[in-house]
Amino acid sequence: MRILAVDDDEIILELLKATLEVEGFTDVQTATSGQQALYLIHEEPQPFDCILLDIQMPEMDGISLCAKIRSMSAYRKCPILMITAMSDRKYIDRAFSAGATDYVNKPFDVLELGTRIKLAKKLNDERKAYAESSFKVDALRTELQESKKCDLSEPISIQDVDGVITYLAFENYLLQLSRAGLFSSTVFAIKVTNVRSIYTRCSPSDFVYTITDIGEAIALNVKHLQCLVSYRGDGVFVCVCHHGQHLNTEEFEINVRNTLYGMDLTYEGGASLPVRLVFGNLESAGFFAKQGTLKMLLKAVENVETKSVAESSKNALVSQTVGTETRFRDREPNSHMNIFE
Amino acid sequence: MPLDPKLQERINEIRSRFLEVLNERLLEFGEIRTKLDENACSETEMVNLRFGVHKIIGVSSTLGFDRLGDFATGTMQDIEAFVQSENDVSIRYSLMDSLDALLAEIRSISLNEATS
Repeated sequence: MRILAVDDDEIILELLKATLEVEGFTDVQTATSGQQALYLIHEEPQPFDCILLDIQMPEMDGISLCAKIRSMSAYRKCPILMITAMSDRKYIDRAFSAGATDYVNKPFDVLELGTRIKLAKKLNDERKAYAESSFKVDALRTELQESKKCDLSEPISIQDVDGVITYLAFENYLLQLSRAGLFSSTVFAIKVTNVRSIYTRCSPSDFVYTITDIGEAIALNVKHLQCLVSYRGDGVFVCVCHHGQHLNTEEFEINVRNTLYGMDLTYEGGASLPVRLVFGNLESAGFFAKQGTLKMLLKAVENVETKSVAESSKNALVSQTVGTETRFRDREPNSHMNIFE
Repeated sequence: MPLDPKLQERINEIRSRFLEVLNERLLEFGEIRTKLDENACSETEMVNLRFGVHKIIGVSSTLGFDRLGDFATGTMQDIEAFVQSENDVSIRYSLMDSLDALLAEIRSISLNEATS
């Protein structure tokens, strides 16, 4: 794995190199500024597989650099780890919003850093395997459509939408908040209840576009609350807000539905694509401080799944009742006619 | 969990280099401390102080200097407060105190390393 480490402190760069080498990562290049890092990235014929960034650097800080790197097509899915002494929430939020995959606080524990880099390697290997398989099936267009279709339960990486991050980054973000003792967060989930029908009727790319549009509609309506949104799979979006207590849930639900209505989503043939949403309860991090923020996330997901099942049962009951009434009304004239006949 | 011997060896080398850097910081921060006392510290000097202290925070505990890391963190908090206060006298004195403590810790580390 080819790694680029960027830090204005040469001692840190030496420490990183030493730690990485012991873990078996010997191909490590270093840069002492954002400009130098960008130069190396442009000059390298092959993209780096993993990037480690300090935040506080003169001229261009690590967060701006992260956003610049993320905007390059070759680096859209590359693991970017922020390694920084900045533990304030504003830095954590900005780093993940700019596309960071993970966040390691300095001073770092060399053993922990090794583990986190190995996780990044795993992510990178999976990314490469996926890219390779996509390349292979490219020759067989028909098969491509089916092969590329991700599993319904898999997270989808939504690109180029402000406030929407990958699911891995979302989990890492929650873990980082927990590590930094920042529990003033609210987590909730939103489920697309008819996701299976959308998944079945859409082509793989259209399914991704639809999920992206829904993600955008959600993110747009929580932007003012410093929220991060992610798609977890199975039609479930998860959101974490710093100012969740200010979220007017009723208004939010109406706004998301209106935004989606305005998007006028359609299937390939032009038929209308309805999106049915169920909104889960807000879970406050304070209650989960001891158990960890990931438990809070699971609770939010469980809650929306339960609501979704309840909603489906209610709808089934309503349609059954309506069906019975319709049948009864349909029979009435007949009965009437029968009487008079 | 004990570190890999190879890594430990590399960390010891880096530690020695860090001590050299600390001695340079002693001079640099000492000058800024004098200017703070005279209330003649420029914006550039404050930026340099912030970056220098930030670097100490980033590496000290990893290299086994936990106390130094704590002093540096305290100094950083006072730097932030001083910059935000736009030259409040009491905050300036507080910054000078924490900088004195940081400099004393650097001197103590240098002395210990020289005698050991």
